Amino acid sequence: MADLYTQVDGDADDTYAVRPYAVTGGRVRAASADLPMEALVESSSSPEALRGMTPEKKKILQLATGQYQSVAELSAHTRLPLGVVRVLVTDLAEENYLRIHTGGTAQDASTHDESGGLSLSLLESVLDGIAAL
Amino acid sequence: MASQPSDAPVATATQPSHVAPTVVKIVIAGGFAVGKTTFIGSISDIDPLNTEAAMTEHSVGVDDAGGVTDRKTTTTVAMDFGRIALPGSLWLYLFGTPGQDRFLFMWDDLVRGAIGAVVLVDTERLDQCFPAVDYFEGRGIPFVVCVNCFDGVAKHQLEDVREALGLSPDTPLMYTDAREKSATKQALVAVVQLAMRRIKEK
Repeated sequence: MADLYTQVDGDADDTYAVRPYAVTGGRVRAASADLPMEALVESSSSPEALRGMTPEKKKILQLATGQYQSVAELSAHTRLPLGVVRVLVTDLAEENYLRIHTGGTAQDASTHDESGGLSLSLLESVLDGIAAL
Repeated sequence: MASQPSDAPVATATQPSHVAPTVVKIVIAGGFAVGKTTFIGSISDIDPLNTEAAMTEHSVGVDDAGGVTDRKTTTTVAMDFGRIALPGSLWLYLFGTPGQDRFLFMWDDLVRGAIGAVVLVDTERLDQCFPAVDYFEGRGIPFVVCVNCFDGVAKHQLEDVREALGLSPDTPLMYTDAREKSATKQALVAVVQLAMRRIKEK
């Protein structure tokens, strides 16, 4: 039988103790599929709230406590694939353990038109910001 | 737990007590080892991070015993990215594309909502950037092409590169040095300016 999860680079450090899709209860795509990888996540959970949680969820909440972390950053720091982090973050938001901010992403109607285009005023601010670096 | 329809908003209705930064992103594309991570690292506030996306591939082959195997395997694709904080509570993410062409379909996820893209070119391996150029042209995504001068030396005239790549005259093309913050900055400025021109032309 084919592995459900095969590491291609064979780096021992990257080996997961648990197959990632066991962590998400076997779910791959749901509401989380639309979660932009640059969406920011912030947790306000108390340490007590972490009790009994899976290590992966606990780690995400710890990383996002008191600071904004993008879904991509959470994936990098937890060494879990992006798709897995999307599912876990969506779950945690539904359970009210963390908040997802999509300001500026394609899901934000104030910065994007209906076809996904960015607003000129936002681009002007980005341009000024980069030019001043 | 019932899953939401895919078009349902993901964010919870809870309003934060303070305002989260607004995030924007620019995609950095180009062939394998063309200097994408160096480019990102030259300007990022954080050391470039690496995230993996897992995907299922359907493969058909012949096994050692001569039988035909037909199975699905999951492989991982790595993407490097960085982050720059800009004034006005703006966070700019730079996402490097996975190097291999066969993961082009993954780019849809990367480019969704992006300002535009930088295509890094190594003139020694010009063909490596064809998929990226085709991809962004085909989808109407603003992109600039930057010829990475590895030793600070330009080996080819820009107009020769434009011709070889079949770039339209209005696609910005410039030299860059992925190690230099000032050069990286110029490339990013060019992408944003192009994106703004596109909006104004509408």
